[in-house]
Amino acid sequence: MIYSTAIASGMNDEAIRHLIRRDGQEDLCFAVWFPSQGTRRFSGLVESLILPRDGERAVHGNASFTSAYFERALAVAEERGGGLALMHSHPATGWQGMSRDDIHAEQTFAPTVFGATGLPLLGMTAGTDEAWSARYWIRTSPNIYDRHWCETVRVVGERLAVTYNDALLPIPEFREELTRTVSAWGESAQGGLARLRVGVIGVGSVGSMVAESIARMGVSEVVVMDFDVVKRHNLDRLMHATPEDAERGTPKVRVLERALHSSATASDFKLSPLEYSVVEEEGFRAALDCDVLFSCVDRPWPRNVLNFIAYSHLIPVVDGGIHAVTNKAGTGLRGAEWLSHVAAPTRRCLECLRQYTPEDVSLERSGLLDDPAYIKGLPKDSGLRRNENVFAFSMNLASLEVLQLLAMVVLPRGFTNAGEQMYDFLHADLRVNRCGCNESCPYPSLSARGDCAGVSFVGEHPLARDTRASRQPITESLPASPISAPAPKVTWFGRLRDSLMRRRGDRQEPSTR
Amino acid sequence: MARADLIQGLRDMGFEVTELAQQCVSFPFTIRSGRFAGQTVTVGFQAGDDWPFNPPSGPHVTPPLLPTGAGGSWPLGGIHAGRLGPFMDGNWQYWSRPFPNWAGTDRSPRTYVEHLHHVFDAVPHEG
Repeated sequence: MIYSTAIASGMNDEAIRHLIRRDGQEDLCFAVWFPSQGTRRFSGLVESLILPRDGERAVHGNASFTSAYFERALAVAEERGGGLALMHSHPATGWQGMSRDDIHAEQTFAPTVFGATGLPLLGMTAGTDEAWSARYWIRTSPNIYDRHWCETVRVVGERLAVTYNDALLPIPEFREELTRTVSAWGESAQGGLARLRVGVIGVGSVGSMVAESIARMGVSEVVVMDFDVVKRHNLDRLMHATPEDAERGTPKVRVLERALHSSATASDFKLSPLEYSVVEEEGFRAALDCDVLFSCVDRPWPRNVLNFIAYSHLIPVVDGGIHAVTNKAGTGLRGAEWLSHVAAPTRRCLECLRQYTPEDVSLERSGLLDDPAYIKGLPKDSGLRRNENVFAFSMNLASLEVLQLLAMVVLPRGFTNAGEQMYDFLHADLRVNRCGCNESCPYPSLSARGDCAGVSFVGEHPLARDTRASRQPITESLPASPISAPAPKVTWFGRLRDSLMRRRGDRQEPSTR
Repeated sequence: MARADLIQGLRDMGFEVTELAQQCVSFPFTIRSGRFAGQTVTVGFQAGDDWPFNPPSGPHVTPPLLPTGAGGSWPLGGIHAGRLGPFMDGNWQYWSRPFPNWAGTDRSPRTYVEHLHHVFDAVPHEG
C-alpha cells in the first residue's frame, strides 16, 4: 500500500501562517482528516484545522501541547467522524524527518487517537519553504503502532504543489531524450513533473493525445482508462489506432499501451491500461491513486464523478470539451470552440461551468443515453446528439489541457492558474476567465471529505460491462495489465471504515458498489 | 446518508414510501390538477446515493396513463415501457421528464415533488 496526504490550498495557507513563525521557532496544531482509499494508494485529506487557544500550547524552540488541547481536538475529530492529524513545523526546508521527541510524541498518542477515531494518527511536518512531510501511525498488532511514511503530500487548488519523499520516490534519472524538455524549465521542475501519477480518463481523440504528450514529457506513471474499443469512425481522430484495430475491436487502452511504451521518455515508464469506466467502483478507486486526472470523456456521468473527485478527494481534474456547429443542412461548418480548465478547490467546478447538468447525469444513469431509440427521439439540436469532431480540434484542445497541467506544476514565474480558456476557432480568439463556483454550489462543501462525504456517484455501467464481455480476446503479447489482477484488499482500512460508519449510524449499501 | 435523506424527506411530506430493490422507491401520488386531476397513481424512481446533487430520473408511473412511444418529449411524448428492475413487469411506464436546471434549485425533496406535480399538470386535456 502506498500512503499519501493532501490538503486544499486555502487550508494549507492557513496552516502555514500558523506554523511557520517569524521568530523561527517551531509551532504546532491539530487538524481533522478524512480517508480516501484508492486501489493501491491510501490518502488522508486534511479537512479542517483545530488551532490552539491561549494556553493550549507552549513554544520554547520546540513546541508542546497541553492534554486539554489534545482532548479538545480529539473530541472534535471524533464528533466529525474523521481522523486526527498532529501538525508541527521545523526551521528547515524540504521533506522533513523526525527527531526523537517527534517520534515519541506521535507514537505516544497514536493508540489513544486510534481508539477514539478508528483511524491512525496522521503526523505532518511543515518546512519553512512550505514543503510537507507526513506519516501514519498504524496499529500492526496490540499496542504496536508502526510509522508508515507517505510518498507524497500534495497541496491542491490554485496550484498543484507536491512534496515528494525522495527516499520512497526518488527523482528519476533523465535520459538524453529529455534534454530539450529539461532545458525549458530545469531539473527541479522536471523532477516534480516526472514523479506525478497522471490519470487520463477517456482515451478517445483528446485523451490519446494527452497521454502521448505526457509520456513524451517524461512522466513516469500513467493510468489510462476507457472501456471502449476502436471502431472505424474513430480512425480519423484516434492516435495510433489502425484499420486492423477497428477490424479486431481492439480496446482503446490497449492501442495506447502498445504505442506509449515506445513514445515514453521516462527511464522507468509504467502504464496501467484499465478497461473500466470511472463511474464503476473499480475505475473510481483506480482514479484515486492519481495525483492529477485528465477528464477526456464526453458524457455527463463520468464528468460528474470526476467533479466529485476534484473536490472531495482533492485530485485536480483537467477537463475540456469541443463544440462544433454546422449549418442546418450539415454541409458547412459555422463555427467551433473548445474549452479547457481545471476543477479544484477555489476554482469553478464542472457543474457550475455547465460541462454537465445533474439532470443529464440522471438520464445517463437510467441508461437512456445508451438507448438509440431515445437519442433518435431527441430534438436535432440537443447537445446530447452532438458528435462532430476533427483531429485538429482535438489536437489543439489536448495541447491546452496539457498546458493547464504545466501551469499548475512548473509554475512559470509563479503563475499557476491558467484560467478557464475558451478558444473560438472562427475568430481565432482565446478568452480566459478565472472564477469560483456559484454561491449555491454544493461541491465546495465536500472539500476533503473523501470516503466520508456521505454521498456516492458510482454505480453499475451496463455498457462498459457488456463491452468488456463481448470484445475479442487479446492474442498479441502485451505487458501484464492490472485489469487482470484483483485489487489488493486493504483489510485494516475496510474494518476501520465499517466501524466508523456504524458509529455514525450510516451504512453503505452493497448495491452502491 | 444521501438516499436516506430523500426517503425521509418524502415521508416527512406525508408520502407512504415503499423501498424496493435496486435502490428504487415507490409511493402513491394523487395528481393535483390537469387532465388526470384527482387520480391516484403510484410513482417510482431510483433514489440514488448521489442525492441531492443529482435528481432522480423518470419517474416511473403505474397504471399507464398515456400511450407508450419513445419519440417526442413532454407533455405527451417520451413515454417508455418500464426500464428498471422493479418497474419492468409490464404495468409500469417510464416518463422521461428530466428536471430542468436542478442546479439552480435548493435540491430538496419538496422541489422534486413539485416537479412531479408539474409532470402530470402539464399533460393537456384531450381534444
